[in-house]
Amino acid sequence: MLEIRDIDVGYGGLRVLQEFSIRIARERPAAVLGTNGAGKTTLCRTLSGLLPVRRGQILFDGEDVTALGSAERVRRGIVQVPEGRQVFPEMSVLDNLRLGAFVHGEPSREEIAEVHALFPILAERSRQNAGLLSGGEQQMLALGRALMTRPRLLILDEPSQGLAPKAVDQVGEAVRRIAARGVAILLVEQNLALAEMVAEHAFILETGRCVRDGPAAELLSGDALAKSYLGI
Amino acid sequence: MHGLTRPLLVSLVVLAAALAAVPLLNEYVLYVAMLAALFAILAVSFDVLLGFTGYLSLAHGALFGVGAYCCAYLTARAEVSFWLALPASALLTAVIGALVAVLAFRTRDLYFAVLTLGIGLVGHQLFLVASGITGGIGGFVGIPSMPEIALFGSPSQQKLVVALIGVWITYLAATAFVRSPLGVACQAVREDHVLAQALGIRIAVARLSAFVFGAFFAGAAGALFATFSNFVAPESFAVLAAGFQVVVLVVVGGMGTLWGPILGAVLLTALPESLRVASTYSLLAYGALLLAFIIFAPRGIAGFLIDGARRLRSARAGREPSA
Repeated sequence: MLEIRDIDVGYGGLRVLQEFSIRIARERPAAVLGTNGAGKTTLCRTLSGLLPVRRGQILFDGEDVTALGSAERVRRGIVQVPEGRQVFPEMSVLDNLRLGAFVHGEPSREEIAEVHALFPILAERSRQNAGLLSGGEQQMLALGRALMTRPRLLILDEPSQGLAPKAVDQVGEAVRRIAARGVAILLVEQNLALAEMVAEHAFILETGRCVRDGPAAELLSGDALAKSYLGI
Repeated sequence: MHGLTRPLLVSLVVLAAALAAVPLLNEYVLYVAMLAALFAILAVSFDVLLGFTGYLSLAHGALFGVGAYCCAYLTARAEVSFWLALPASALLTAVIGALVAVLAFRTRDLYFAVLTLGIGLVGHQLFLVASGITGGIGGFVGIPSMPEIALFGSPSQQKLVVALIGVWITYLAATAFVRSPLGVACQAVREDHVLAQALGIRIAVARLSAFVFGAFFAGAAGALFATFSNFVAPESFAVLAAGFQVVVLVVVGGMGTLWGPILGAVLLTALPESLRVASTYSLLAYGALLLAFIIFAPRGIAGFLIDGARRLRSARAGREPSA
């Protein structure tokens, strides 16, 4: 599904990701776990084509997408939900959803109805400005908007950030439902609770390198070593 | 889902009311109302860029001038019919607008404003220097009037009717544009261009289309201005004349609503004209108004009206249960 081979990414003289490699399969939702500054957001932005790769390759379904721009990657189904549950606050909930479908043109009624069925709150608040939603609802909207893009790989950058535990559960439940529809999931997080709910495979990211990986159940539950990496 | 029926009906009613008032106005009021309508076309088209896409351009007045000189040249020198010159001027202005946009969109925010300020200044200088086409500082004299449309009444009444229909077309086109996927993409660019990019929106295409849309209607307004005045001179299109004025109209009327700028254009053209202080203090008054609105009412007149309507509605809703 997605294979990252030895990529180097940085800003100016700073190297953030170094010889970073992971492989993700569609049927096994994956999590990349790391602390602040480990390079999580840099990884997400690189996968979306918002940051250039200095070295290495990104393969999506066997095709080299390293040189493609962000619009073309979205068209192929690589979709990111950016960090900080970003919505367009001064636009209606419905227009936010329409924007998700932008690369495919105007969304059909069915597509919107499908997202509304998954997140009923978005139907209720359809005409309201997205900035008026609660934090959890905004994250639902960001997920719903990503679904409108018809993703094949959904990259989630710290979706639990700043959310109450109950809202984190709701997000986890939503991500599981999305995964059940055959969408590959790459969750990039420092919150173990959400990763445990969602991921089957986990990678530990430390100062720009993947230092460990394995089945999420082994790596996360009661593994003192993994927890020490995360400083928890 | 995003029906245009309501804006179409409401704007038709407003247009009909305005047209019904035309026979009641004297020559002077007809003239002022015609100017207000032309500025409304400029302001609505400019709001697509400023209010909906989030870019402050100071080159809009120069584009207005491009349309005016183009129409002047086509009708007076090339003897093209006005009804052909009008769309041709709008199209040419759109093309020039696209070139300006490609240059200006290399920047954002303050840098964009400063760069378009430079383009506005250059445009004004070009109108002065290219005297072979524009008549230079002396202005372009002898622009033919629009062909008679006897149905619309006297010549002054005809001008106002055509200008009002122009406002109506501009308003509808702008409404359709901002609700289209491209227009929604423009608003996404305004709110967060990185997030917009992450969704696969080609922000270069979105903002370019907003700029070209504005340029097209600025060109059309310029063409109407030229044929209505029979004379145009560079000072009308200076950055501190039309370029700055259109910013004030939109900010005072209400950015991001398409009807607000129409209100702004009507009020700010009619008030100083009727107070007869137009020439002496108008720039001072414009500056002061702009300051006052940005500090105290950044959402403009439209903001007041929307809040007022909401308060009225909730007050009524509050009364109903007890009744």
